[in-house]
Amino acid sequence: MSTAKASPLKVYGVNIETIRLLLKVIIFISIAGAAISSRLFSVIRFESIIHEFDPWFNFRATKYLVSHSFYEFLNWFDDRTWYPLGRVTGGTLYPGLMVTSGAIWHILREWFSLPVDIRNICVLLAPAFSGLTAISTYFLTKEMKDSNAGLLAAIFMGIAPGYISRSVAGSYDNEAIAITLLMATFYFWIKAMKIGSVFYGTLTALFYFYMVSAWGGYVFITNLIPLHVFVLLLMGRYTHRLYTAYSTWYALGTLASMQIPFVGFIPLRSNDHMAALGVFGLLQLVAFGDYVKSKVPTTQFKTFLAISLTSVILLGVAGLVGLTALGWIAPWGGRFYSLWDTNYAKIHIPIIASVSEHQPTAWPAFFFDTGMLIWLFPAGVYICFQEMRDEHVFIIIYSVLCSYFAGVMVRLMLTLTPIICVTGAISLSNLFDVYLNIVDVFTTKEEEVTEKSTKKNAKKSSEEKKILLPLITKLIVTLTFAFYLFYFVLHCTWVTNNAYSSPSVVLASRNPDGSQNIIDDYREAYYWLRMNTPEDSKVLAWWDYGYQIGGMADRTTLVDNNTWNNTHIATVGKAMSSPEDKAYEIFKKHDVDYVLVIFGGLIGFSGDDLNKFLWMVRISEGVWPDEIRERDFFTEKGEYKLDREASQTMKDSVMYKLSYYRFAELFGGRDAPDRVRNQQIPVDQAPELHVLEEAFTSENFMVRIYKVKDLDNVGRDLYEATKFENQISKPLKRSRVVKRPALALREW
Amino acid sequence: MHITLVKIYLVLASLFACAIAGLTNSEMLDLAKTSSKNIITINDKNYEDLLYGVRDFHLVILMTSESTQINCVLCREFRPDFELIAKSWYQDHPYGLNEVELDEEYEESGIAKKNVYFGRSEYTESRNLFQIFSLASIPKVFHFAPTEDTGVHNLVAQSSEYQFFQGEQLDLVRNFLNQKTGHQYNIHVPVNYTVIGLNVALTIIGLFIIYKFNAQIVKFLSSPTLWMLVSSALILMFISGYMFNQIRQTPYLREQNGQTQYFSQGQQTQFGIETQIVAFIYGFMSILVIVLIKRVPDISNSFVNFIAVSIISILIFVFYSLFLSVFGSKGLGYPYQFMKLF
Repeated sequence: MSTAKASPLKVYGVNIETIRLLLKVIIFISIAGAAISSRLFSVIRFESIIHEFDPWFNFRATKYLVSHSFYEFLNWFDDRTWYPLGRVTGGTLYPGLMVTSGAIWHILREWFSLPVDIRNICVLLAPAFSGLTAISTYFLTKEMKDSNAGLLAAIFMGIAPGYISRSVAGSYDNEAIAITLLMATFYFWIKAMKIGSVFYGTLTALFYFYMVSAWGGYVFITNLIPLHVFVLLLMGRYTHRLYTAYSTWYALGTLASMQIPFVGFIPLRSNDHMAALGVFGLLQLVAFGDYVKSKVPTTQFKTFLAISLTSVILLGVAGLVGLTALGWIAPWGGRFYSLWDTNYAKIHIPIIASVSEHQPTAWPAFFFDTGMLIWLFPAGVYICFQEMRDEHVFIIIYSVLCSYFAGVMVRLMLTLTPIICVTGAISLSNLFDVYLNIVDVFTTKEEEVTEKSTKKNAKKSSEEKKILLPLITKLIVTLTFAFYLFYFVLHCTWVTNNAYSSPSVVLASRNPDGSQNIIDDYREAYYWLRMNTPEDSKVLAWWDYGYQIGGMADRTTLVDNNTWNNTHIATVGKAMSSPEDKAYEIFKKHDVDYVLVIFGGLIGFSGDDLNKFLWMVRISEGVWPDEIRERDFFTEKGEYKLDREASQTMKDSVMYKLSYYRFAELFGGRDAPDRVRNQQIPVDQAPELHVLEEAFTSENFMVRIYKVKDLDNVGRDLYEATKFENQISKPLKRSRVVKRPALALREW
Repeated sequence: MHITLVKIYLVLASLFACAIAGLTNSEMLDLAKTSSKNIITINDKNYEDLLYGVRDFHLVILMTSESTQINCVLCREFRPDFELIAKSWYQDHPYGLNEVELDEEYEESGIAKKNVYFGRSEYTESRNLFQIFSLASIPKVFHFAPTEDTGVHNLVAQSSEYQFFQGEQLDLVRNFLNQKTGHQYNIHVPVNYTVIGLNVALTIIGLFIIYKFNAQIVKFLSSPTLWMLVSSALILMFISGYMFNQIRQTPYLREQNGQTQYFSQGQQTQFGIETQIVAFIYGFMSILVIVLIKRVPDISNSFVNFIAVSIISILIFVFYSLFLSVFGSKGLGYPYQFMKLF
């Protein structure tokens, strides 16, 4: 190396460092390219469309932001959701995502004069940020080992399905930018802690602020960094650098995070944030102790330490208990509890337990999301234990904690994936350090040759063997792992392609001949709502569809995916699970004009409302245990049946009726098969509607919209009115029956 | 002794009465008082007295079996819940219903306010009774409402059965009884002094050990190897679905038609044994990689080195193939497998 410094190596007259830089840039561009392009499956296959549920709200909020001023956005009171309550949207969202895409929109428009549609920015924001994530992961891993490991980690991060799942094009959600910020914050924290720099501490705080503005998962950082510091203190690794970095980050970061309206004073009051505050206090004490220790003799210091430790612990515990008792600091949030006591949510908060993302993770999901990295992961952690510098402690804590979290909740795979990429890269680059380095083989040979060149040539063959054998040895490992890596890329592409690239607003199925069949019922129905209903009509649907109705149909909803009001959601659940007359009261009280249900029985779409129905029952049972009972919805044998054996309560419920209304008619007098639940819906017990009338049913029966009838003009009961109308319209029906044979003939 | 005497007396009394008259409320109360855990034992000798004739009370019977031959797991699991409810009810009503409860003769539900008695019937001692109900499975809980009919009843038609649904059985039984009898059931969990005593003792012993051996403990706790082992074990457990087993309480494996199933079909489910298999595969492959990185390069003899590397590489390949086969067999049409192992 010393010779290299004296006269830098040159290839074709270009400095080797320059070449290295150039290569790195090219590699980064390729990584970003790979990361972005593997996220574009859905855009290519379908179109540039916002996905799923939450992104529709973010999209709607972004549209509001770009059409209004920033302050109007922060003060936005949305009267189109949570009717009749409304939502203080500006104060209850994390604005980071919208502000980011808003800023990009303005920059493109005003600086580059590129009038890009805000939708395209929203769709492509997540892939663009995934490139940045790869780069931040590179820097983070570089701090752990070297730039080789960094580059590996970057490419892993770019294509690991665990991260792609939340950042495909169109998945315009907070996580899209939050993982980038997570990695950046951790990188700056490691850097700050290593060199004790106020500058890097400030950068950590800055990115922490950005993270707080973007995702509720910032609490993870708020607890992980203090935990890292705490463990370092326990290991007796207190340094002034640690003190500087942590104090800078905590003071600035907390102040900055409090500027977000939704966060406000939470960092001072919520127990989620107490660890950070506690460690901050502890660090001050340790610093003071450190100072005292340097000034007084050891024996005196020991007594000083003992007394101060006990008093501090007692004071701390008493203070925490006292403040909680006084109500000054809030207890932990429900989602937090459900992480530790895994049965907590099931019993106390069905609304959290009902979300499929909050289910525990079975082992296939881990391999599915990270491929071969999952078995390199423990090896990487082992290597961190071997090195055991301060930053490796961080990796270890992160690994253990996040493995647990990811095991409890599927959605937290997202936070585990980065650390799997980092540790996987560390172990793989260690392996390559040993086996890719064929220079050793030849250098020893050269030395030996120069030594032995004077000797006879008889030993030449054995010389070659000595080179050949290590070379083959290295090749074996290198080639097998290159093979595994190749398969890893195939795995990632396959998973992304098959599992994570469906917008779930538009579905695709395969026809028998292999051609693609696009099922676009959602948009068809939402568009119908948009064009055919009065602008101020209120739509009642289960909360999953609230954001989509708001975003695509632009109609007022009663509940949406922001599940802040359990009672209101339970009201909707009650309306769905009650018989018609009770539901009608609820409809009228809430000014409901239309009721929307999703029904997958015809095409076999399993994520429909009847499959979510038990959660509606459970949630409303939590609020009205006297009126709704889960048991009543099961058959005598305790089965969830919708066919002939279905319980009377089930058959009377509005959800059952709305789903199967006129469903059997499709099958010409036979029992109608429900393809999701594999049950036969009896044709002779077809549900009748009295207080609702069918307004729209989409092509594949997936979305069914019903209009709530107004009170009867002549003051009749709606049951009687319907009966009367049915009698009048009977001749009409008969004439329709006459036509039917022609259709039936064609069918046969 | 006392119990058997009462029983004999009852049997005799019923013999004297020519028609089967059933027991009165106060007789039942005596019986409940003297029975162990305030649950009346019902068997082939006494069930006719208890179940037939005029019934001036609610009767809740648990049909169960503790016998090892029958080996009813659910019976054993359910027993403490049933006993707790019976015990708590008796604790609240040692002298029958109190006046306040009797005052409001009828509730909205229209169920007569009568005292509730709990009985248990063991299969080995009451085969006739079980035959009447022609039970195919146990445990069962039956509720018998008060009746004014005399003579022999059609017990099956008269009873209402409690359905064992998923969930907290204690609450479900309480709700069931509440519906059937119109009473509120409080639960008095008895204070378990042994647990408290044990905890106190353990704490004292623990503190003593810490005081006595603190140097060794600190040394033990600060050993990196310990932490490494613990962390690796935790990580391996978590990434192979241990928490899923804990939360969903999955079976260890499944035996179907004489065949043992080790892997459940479908990506969203797993058995307990899968966690162990997968954790073993991950752990073993990690160890191989570590050996490859840390140990093998130290071998100076290039031939031994070559052999070691070959063996380890083959092992990694075989285990990875094995793992991919397992993953592929879970369904979902995973196309990438090195070898078709099964």
